[in-house]
Amino acid sequence: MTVSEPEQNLELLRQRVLANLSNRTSSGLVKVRLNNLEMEQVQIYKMLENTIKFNEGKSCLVIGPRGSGKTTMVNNALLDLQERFPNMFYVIRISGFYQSDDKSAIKEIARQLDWHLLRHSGNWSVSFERFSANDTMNSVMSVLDGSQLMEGKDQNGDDDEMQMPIIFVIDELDKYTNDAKQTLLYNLFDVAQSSSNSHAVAVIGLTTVTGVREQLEKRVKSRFSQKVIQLTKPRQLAEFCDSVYCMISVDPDDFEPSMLELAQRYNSHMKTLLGGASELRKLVVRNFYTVKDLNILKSQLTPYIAKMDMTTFSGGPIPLVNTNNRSFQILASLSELELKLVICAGRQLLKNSMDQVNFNIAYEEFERISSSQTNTLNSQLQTMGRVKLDSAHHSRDLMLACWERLIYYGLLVEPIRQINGINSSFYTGGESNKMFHLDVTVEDVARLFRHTDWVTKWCRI
Amino acid sequence: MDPTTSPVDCRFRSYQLDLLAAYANPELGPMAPSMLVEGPSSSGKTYTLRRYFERLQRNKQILFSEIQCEYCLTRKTILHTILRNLINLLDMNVQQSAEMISKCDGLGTFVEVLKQIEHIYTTMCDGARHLPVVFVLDRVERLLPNENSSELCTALSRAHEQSPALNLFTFVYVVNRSDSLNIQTLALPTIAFTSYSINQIKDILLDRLTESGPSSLPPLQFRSFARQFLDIILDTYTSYFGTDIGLMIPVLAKLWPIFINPVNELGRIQNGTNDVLTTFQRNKSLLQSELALLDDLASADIPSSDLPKKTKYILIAAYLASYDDPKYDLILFSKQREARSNRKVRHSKKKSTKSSDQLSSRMLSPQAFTLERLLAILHAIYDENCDEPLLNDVELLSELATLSTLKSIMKLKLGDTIGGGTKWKCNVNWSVIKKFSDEVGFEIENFLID
Repeated sequence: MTVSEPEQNLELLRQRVLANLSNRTSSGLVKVRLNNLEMEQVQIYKMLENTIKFNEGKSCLVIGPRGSGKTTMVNNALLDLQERFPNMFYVIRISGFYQSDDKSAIKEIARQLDWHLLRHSGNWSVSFERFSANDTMNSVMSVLDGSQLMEGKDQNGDDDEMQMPIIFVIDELDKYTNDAKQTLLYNLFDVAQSSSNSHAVAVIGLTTVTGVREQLEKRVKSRFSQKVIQLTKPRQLAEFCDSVYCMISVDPDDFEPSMLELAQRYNSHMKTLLGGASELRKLVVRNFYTVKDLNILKSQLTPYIAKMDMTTFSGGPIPLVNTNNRSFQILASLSELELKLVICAGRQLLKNSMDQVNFNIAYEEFERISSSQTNTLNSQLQTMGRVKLDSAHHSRDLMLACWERLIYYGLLVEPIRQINGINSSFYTGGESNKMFHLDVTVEDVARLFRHTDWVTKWCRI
Repeated sequence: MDPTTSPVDCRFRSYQLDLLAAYANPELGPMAPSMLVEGPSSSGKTYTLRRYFERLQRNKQILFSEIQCEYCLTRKTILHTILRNLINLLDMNVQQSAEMISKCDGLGTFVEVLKQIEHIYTTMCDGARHLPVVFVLDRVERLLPNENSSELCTALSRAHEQSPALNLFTFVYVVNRSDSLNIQTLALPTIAFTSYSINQIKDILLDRLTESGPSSLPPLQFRSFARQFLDIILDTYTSYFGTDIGLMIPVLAKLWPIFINPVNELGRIQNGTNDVLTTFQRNKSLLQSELALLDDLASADIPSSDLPKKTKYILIAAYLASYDDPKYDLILFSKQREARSNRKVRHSKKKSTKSSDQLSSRMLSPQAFTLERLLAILHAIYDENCDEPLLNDVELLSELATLSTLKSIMKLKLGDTIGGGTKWKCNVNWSVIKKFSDEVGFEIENFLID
């Protein structure tokens, strides 16, 4: 590198790249470049444009695995629309994560309508939200149907107000199919289908459940416009690499002319890294053949870029993703006594062919093994001379404390009993004979600690 | 100043700090909306986060609030705490803040209240936005079992998608193991912590000890004294401690005076009188017992003699009913001589045929029994051992009711108390029952088959 760039230019470039890698890209404030989704994005854009321009109601489903860009794609389309038709439509977002049932969703819709009205007219007094969910539904639906719009007429009686198209974005749509009647979906799809009177309504549902269309109730299904956009993960490695490149590169058009050269240099460097033998390429290939998850890649690449030396473009360390069994990891961090208890519990399970174990049983085994070991040791010592080893004795209370810690770590799992659908811990008989499932087996322990002598000895049955 | 190079005082955690600085660094643009911090207990997770974020807060780069979810118990309380802390952090003097917070009755309304707070803030400050806010949710997986912390985490991770106004929040989940949360597919940025090694722990504790101890010794000498003390105590108890600093600190605090007091009395360290090894030798018996490890909350012998004799018999009968198989009832409790005469023979026979590995039923959970059986056993064992007549059935039942409210005997069904179908269980363990039977002079071993 002969040309030395000013420090702030390098930092600016780094910030641009990082902004693209952040999980915040889905908040929908700026457009995000997506690889290979242009067609789908245009489809959504066209559909929404028709709603705004020609009052045409439509509903559509976007189905795809997590991290495939559903939310971002819809956000991009909405940003485009906002650019072309500023303040000419309302967007209402509900998410199955937050509003997990129809009632709270309909209330949220009412509240968001209130916000839009507030922004539009600065009027706090009107409110769609009623105390009961049914009334709220009525007040919202009456607006959407256009049969009566008290607020609009009260304010100025202007017809334009009533023509405002509304776009519903429903994240995690599958949550609303759990209800038998599917009231919310029924009403929204119905309004979207027949919105000719006043408000054009478009509904976009996002979900990860592939079979969500079959989950729709038949009357709901018949009102749905049957438009489904299916997103898939890339099938070819090259395609996947393109997506990664799209994620990690920068758009030269965003930069000042003075930085253009730097940006291009960065991009071409990344392209060679992705194409040739490099740490980055290795990471991408491994990800492709295991999980094929761009989001994991994003969070791995963030430290890579954040620590990157921007003058030579040599990246920082890449953190590994931990997909191991957590119980095994916890085993490694246990103290000796805790590990012994785990082994004893596992031994008893094997010996008595039970599936649950309690403290009494494990402790009995623990005492038996440790005393037999002391005895063997003592007899060996006695043959050598008159020495007697008084090995430390561990009291029951101390071991019970260890047992409780095992429960806390989740190595011992309490079996869940349900009575009438309510989890109940129906337990009798004192601390020490409560039964638990053991999350690991003796073989696991023996395999994990095969280099530790005493563990091998304890695990031998 | 770059936080990565500045001294955030966390020993042996530079790798994790680097990751933190990559994901949550206000100078590198927006911080990640949510992060997962995972590691075994006592690996410095909360401490590191606190040090890092407090430093950013001092530099006026972020606002930071830590929430102990373990004490919140429910999702709603956590959400309320988030809102309340936010109002406090933003220093908003809102009159109806309590009313506003109470509007949030779950995840469904959380976003709305958050938006209102943001709205009020921006109108107050003429459109200016506040600094990014970081919420550390400590031990978020330790909510009540039916509170579903995984839903909470998933939802909060998506807070920034709900409204453009909400893009200044970062949520950090601190957990022991993330597999209980079911959020693997969200692919949150994860910072993994590992346990400290025993030498690292010694270094950390040494710093703490030397900071805290006012001493008459010269600092260097004091330090080596403390180091020796730590070495010897931690090595003694290592099989119990493992790498859990949380377990070590109370024990060390308990034992430290024993070692430091002789030094303070003399004012200097004299070999053979008050150095670490000598004190250790002198107190060997003390250290061999588990004095320092266990706290005796209740004294070991339970004052049970205040229970009347008949009540003890009821409990013994309940224990027998719970732990004896009904098929042996005839052999054990029959009043017919011939059936009973070979009780002991069979008993010993059974024992000899069984392998020594067989589990004793005493160690398992009690079996349920009906009231009838309890009364029958009670009559059998009581008549044999005592001369005075047993209470009549009405008094017996009231006694039973008392025991049931004391949870010594548990009823397995709500409602019907004396109906034949209702099952009961004995809720008293072997050691207590053994004590009772010794007190009333009843040989309970003869009546247990195994």
